[in-house]
Amino acid sequence: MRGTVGPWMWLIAVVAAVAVAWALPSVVGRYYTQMLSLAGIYVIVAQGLNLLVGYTGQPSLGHAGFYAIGAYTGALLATKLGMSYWAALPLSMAAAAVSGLIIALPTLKLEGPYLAMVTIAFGIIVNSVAIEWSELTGGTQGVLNIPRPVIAGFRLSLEGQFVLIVAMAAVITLLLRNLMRAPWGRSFVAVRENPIAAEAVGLDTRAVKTVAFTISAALAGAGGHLFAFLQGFISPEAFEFDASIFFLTMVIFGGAGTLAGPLVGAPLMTFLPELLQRFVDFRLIIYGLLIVGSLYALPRGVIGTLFRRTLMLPEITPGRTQYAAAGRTGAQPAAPPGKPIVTLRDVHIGFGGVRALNGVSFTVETGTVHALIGPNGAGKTVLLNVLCGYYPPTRGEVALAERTLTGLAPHQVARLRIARTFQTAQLFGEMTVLQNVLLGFQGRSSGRLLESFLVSSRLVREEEERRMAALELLAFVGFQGDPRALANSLPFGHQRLVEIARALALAPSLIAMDEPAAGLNPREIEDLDLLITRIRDSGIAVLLVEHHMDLVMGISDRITVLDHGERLAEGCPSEIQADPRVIAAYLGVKDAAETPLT
Amino acid sequence: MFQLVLSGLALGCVYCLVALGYHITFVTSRTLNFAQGSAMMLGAVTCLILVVDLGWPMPLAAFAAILTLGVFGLILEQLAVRPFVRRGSMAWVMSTLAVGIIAENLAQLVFGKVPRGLPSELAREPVTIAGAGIYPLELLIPVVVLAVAVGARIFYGGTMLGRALRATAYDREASLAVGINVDLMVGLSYALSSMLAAVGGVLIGPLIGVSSSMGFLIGLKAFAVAIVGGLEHPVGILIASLAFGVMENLIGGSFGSSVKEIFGFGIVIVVLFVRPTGLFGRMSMRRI
Repeated sequence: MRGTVGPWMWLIAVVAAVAVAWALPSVVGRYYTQMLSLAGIYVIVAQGLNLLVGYTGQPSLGHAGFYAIGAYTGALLATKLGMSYWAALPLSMAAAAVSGLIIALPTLKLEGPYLAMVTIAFGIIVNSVAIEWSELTGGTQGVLNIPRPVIAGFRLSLEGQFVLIVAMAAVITLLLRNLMRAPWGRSFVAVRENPIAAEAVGLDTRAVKTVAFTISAALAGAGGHLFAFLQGFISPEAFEFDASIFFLTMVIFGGAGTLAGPLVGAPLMTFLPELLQRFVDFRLIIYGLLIVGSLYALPRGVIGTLFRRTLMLPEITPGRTQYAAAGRTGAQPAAPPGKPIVTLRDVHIGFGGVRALNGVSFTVETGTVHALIGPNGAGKTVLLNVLCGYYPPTRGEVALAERTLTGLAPHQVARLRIARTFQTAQLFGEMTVLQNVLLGFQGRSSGRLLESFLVSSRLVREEEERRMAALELLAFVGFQGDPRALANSLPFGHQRLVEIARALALAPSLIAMDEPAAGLNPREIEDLDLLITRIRDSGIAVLLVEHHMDLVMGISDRITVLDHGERLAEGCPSEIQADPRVIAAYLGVKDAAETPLT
Repeated sequence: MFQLVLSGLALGCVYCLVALGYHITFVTSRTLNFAQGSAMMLGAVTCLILVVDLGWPMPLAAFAAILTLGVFGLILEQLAVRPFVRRGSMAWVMSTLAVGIIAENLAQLVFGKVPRGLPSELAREPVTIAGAGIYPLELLIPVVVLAVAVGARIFYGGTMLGRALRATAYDREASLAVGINVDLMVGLSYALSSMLAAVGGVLIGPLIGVSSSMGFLIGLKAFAVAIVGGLEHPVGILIASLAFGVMENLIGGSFGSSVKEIFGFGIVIVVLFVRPTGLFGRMSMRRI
């Protein structure tokens, strides 16, 4: 029962950390107690930054800004309004969190260097405001005489604050561990690993990024608050661009995307300048060389490189993985066959001067395998992308029963139970097979945050159910490998199956598959043939884009042929095989009517 | 007022030179050299040492400084960018930042902490144009930028090397297929970017004084204008640079430097909110 022992081990670790913190100051003396306290504060900031940078994969070169907002909020509330340490703490965190939200919302469309720029700009603006708004912030002088925190009527000494900081750092690490074990953890990593696939399973990637930004900012704010009260004074110098780089170095040096990384990175980076003190003038040069050197030698940070296993996302019940005997899809009760599910009406789309789709209309009906064929460049994949919300059509409409899909984002289309797979399987590479399929179940909602932080018993039960359902789906698609293997370690054919299982986890009414047979060997294609039939028989309509004609002609109930972005023909397989226009389009000659299309 | 505009244009030109360095490496290798500010500083420091301590004539010293920085760029790419790009890692962000830190402190060791003036004939006596007192150097700076632009045009369009560089920027795989040494091109783009930064350093040194820390903020602001203009659009970068330089001077002239930073970087955020890929960048359709 490893699943139940785990939390206790962690609780013991927290208590042990606090006990050590209690005993340590008398051994190491005042100066090092101060340094260790700083290290504890940096652990909190780095854990928050790690959630954003390490787990969610979003850059931030401006975390000193959130740190500063927490520090100034706490310091000013205490000195100007006489508020207590404890009353001000949530407000400091909230101020930082709100600024995180404000900076996240308008920047969600940004990527890479553009997003990095906004975070840099934010950090510099906060620092400049702290200097400029001197009536409030004391300008370059900063805020002085911040009172020491009081607990149960006692004014805390440095040693007392140290214990408090260690306790907070330990509890925050524990809460984050819970969060990462919950569905939320998978959502963060999914956004990092493959944003397109994340949308395809119904994850609102912008919402996920916003949550990561906000939590991350709140933790930086908490760190700033603790820093202000520890030092007793703050000034803008502590919150310059360098500090943002310093925080980032802690995360990367320790091991981005691991829980233990910040626990190691923050203290190391705190004491490194200390160790380099005797080199005086060469200090920063050695510091720079160490950064470059460690990036070479420890590409995934100290923890990530030495303990590869820590890079795996922790799970709530890791001990109980077993196969379900019978595979089920968990599909809705089968709708009566022959009813339209998805209708395309006069869909146009162009890229630059190229008209990729030029007035395409057709309907996919329940209980059918509907194939979409056509020569390369006919617009088949573009059509799937329009259907699933990746490209907005320039004209025309896509409708799900009576409801229009036009204008919806990919995750919204996925939530309306339209699943898809991609030409090259889009998996979350650094996650396990099981976690990939689990993401299919949770796209709609990652669950309540509070419940995730605390790992409620309901959450554990739901996870157990999801896990069973995921294993059943893997059995249904005929996946024979290890569900705990990393997705990017799988052979090609297995990746396809996992992607199909993940799509089925959406309990779709329609699954759109983009060339599922490409690159498969004949035996695998035979299995795929049977699988698609099983999917249809379980009540899910299949829209199949495929070049492999044996497969298409064998299993399709209906076929639409596209050529140059227009619908060339539609009918049952025998009609299509006999259609001279189709044959001409494929063979590029006008008088090829006698050549049978196979 | 007119004076502030003119000197703002000169400042904007320097931003532009440094910012084009970000552009060049980005288009050839999808990486950014965050040591650009330090490269600018190293250019100015090298030039000053050659002129003041070794008594070289200014033009020769400037030329030597720019070439030195070309070598710096090549080495930087070899040591701090290539190994990480090969692994498919983003660690070049940290490693180029670290190289910047190293360069800044090496310069401080050699050069000392106190800023020194870079003497220039062109920054001794201001001339008066339409009532505005301005150094001849500030008028020379836009001319140099223009010359660089024309030179770049000839280089890209008219030489094999330039075309190879452009091909690499356009399509890495295809360039490999037609036999272009893509690694060399990326190294070359780093050399070019550092040289452009050095040109900026040599030009601005006489105006603002030379110190080991002079490059940091200019490097950041150049990154800001490169982003605002659109990393892949040199003309956009030029326009954004000039606008940023003038605006900074006007705001800084009346409100002081902190307000200047708040406004400057505030505008960056606003622009990116409205145009996520910069003023002149086009939103490209995701390929799926």
